[in-house]
Amino acid sequence: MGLTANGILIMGPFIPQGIINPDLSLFFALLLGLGFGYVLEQAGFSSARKLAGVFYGYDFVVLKVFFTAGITAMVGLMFFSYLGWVDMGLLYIQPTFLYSAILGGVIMGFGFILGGFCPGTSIVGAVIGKADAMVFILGIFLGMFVFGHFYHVFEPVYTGHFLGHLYAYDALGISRDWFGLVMVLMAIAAFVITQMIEDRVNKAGPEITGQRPNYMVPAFLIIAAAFIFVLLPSERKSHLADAPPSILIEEVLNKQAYVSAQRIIHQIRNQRSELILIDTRPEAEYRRFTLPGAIHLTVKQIPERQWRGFFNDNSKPKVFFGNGSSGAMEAWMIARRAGYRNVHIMEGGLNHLFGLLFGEPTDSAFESQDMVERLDDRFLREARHYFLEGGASEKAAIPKPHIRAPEAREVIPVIGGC
Amino acid sequence: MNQHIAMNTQPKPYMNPYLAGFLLGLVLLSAYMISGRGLGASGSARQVLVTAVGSVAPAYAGNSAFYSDFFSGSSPMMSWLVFLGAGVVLGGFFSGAISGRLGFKVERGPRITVRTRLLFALSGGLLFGLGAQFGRGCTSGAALSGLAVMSAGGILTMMAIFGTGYLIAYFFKKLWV
Amino acid sequence: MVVKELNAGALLLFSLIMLGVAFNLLTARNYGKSNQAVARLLSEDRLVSYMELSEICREGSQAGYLIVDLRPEDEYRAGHLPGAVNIQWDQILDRRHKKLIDGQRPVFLYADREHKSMAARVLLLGQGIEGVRVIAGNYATIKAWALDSLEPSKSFYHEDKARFDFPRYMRAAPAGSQQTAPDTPLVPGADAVTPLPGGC
Repeated sequence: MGLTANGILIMGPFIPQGIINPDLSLFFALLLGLGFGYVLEQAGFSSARKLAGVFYGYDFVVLKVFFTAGITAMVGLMFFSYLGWVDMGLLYIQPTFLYSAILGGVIMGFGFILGGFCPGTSIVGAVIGKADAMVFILGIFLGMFVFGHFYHVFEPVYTGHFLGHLYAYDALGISRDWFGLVMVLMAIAAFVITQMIEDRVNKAGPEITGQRPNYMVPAFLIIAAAFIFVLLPSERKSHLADAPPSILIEEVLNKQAYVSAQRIIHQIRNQRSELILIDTRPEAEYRRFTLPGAIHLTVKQIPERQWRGFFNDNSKPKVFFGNGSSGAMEAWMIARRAGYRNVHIMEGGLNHLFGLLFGEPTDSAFESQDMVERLDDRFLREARHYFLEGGASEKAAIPKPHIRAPEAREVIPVIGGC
Repeated sequence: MNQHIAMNTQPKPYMNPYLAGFLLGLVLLSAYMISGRGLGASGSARQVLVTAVGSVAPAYAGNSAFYSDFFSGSSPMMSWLVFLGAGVVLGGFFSGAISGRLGFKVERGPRITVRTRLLFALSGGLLFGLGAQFGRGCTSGAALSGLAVMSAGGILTMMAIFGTGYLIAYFFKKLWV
Repeated sequence: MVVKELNAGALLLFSLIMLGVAFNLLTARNYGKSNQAVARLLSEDRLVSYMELSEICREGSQAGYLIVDLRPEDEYRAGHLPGAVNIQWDQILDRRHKKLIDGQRPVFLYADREHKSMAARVLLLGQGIEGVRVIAGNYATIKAWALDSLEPSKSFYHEDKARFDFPRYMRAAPAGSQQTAPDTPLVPGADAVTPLPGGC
């Protein structure tokens, strides 16, 4: 994984990216659930008294397991993201509905104290025979039924004050790497402090504290790992997926980089959408006029993370155009360097396209014996009429392709999270 | 002899919490790498409820947006969340079996009766079921998974759960110690 | 006392991370600037106008600039800008030219098509070489409008300027109404030679 196979970048998450067959997803769900349940039970989460200990200071196992798991997974994800092996933009993060998130947390806090379980732990408790856990699960169903029954009452709170798919570090305005390091340090500090509280509550003497394992090594290693990501430049000069300069030069020389203006005229005349046209001109010019079906992207937007899915979809060639070819060439170079394969430049840009259609008719072509040129000429005349009669300007003729813009992030239906 | 049997049925000690956390972190990381989403438990309960209500009383379910999943075509039972939950059941049972912790019992604080404990467990579950819907996930789905991907909503919900817990812990002390 | 599995696990994860970081640093292709940084720098100070170029030529201060002719050698021999050195387009990143393009002098590029000079500028920026600008247009237009005599109307010419009033030709016009003859292309000499200006 992560390596380039046939030049196509492979990266996670595997099922959404189509690297693992989605039909197998249920099998992996079962497997992951198995690991989840096993660890929960082994950690002692099947015991309500052990769980409730976190609130009374006699047993902080919940906090220890929880935070260790959280920071391990977080550092792991930061690592894979640094290597470019996972597209963080494709990971599911809950939408943040401010009041709903807080209200839900408060209700769950009450539920935790009263019941001593949370849903995951109640399942492992119930399967090993804890009757209180079984009753707790019954309660969960009742609670959900109540929510469903009064959904119309709860809905304004449930869907109110939507802040989007918000990352905590964005909300705080710091970089992701720093936030990660702070979380790791906070977790380690919490471990130390809660251990001291636990010892005091349990009146643990030296015969217990002296037997305690030494956690210096793992604590040091996780802090060091998080610190490395702060030190490394967040914006790397080169990525593994980058196409080297020699490939860029070669593709311009052998003209693989170009798409002819004729082909664009064909597409417009025949109302096809085989090519995705990308307007690289300033936005004001795009608003005033653009080719049918074209979308607008600036050079700065091309390397941004949220356009990766769009460019990595190789099913349709993407063609950059401007008034001439200079701006399109810049866009192509940036996109091609980022490793996107099916990108091209429209030869000569709009000036050339309109020059072909409306420039001085070339009489030599009309006289020519060359059939190809004759056909071309007839096609151009026909296309000229088509353009002038307004057929080409109908925006609906060629639908704009669906693209995943930052604000148009696919909304995953709210399925109660988890 | 008696002592010997007692030695044998003594459950194995729990795993070191940090080691368990580390392993859980790896499971969580794999979940994100494979499927793009974290772990969770309340979601599977919801799918089961939606299926049950949808089958028993389709007319009632049809009136509420909450049950719309049931009518979306594919069965809610054949979903990622349900299989994840099924895995938790199997994994938990397997772990309990190899550690000698299987056995029907009610765990309670020293100062309350079984009946009180069960009553409070039921009301706790009810609140958790309700709260998990508002929070869009429970402690594992919202808080743990949210921490791993640094989601603002998830971390907020986590702080609300534990903050509330500590605030009210004093008043329910009798239940546990 | 230590928890062996935890130490082993943490050590494994940490060494994996270190290995990954090292692997990443070693295998990274030799770009000197990130793609994002290049994209940000692209729009800054990219063109040399004919006004500026003719002023430099008139003052005879070309020595302060490195003017690079990116065309094939025979075309360079047939005529080039005064003081220009010839580096063929596909060899712009060759090691032997590294000394020449050292960032001491501002670099001006021109070629047979403007977009090829642009491409060379992006390649150089990717290597971390800033201060490279492109002389607008191609050799033919530069010679005609900047060197031989500065045409005031062309002093800010470049290829990405719209040569047509595009919406006029794509309007939903009532059927049968004919538009007037369009503007003739603005590069008389150059376009007559190469009827398909898009090709390079």
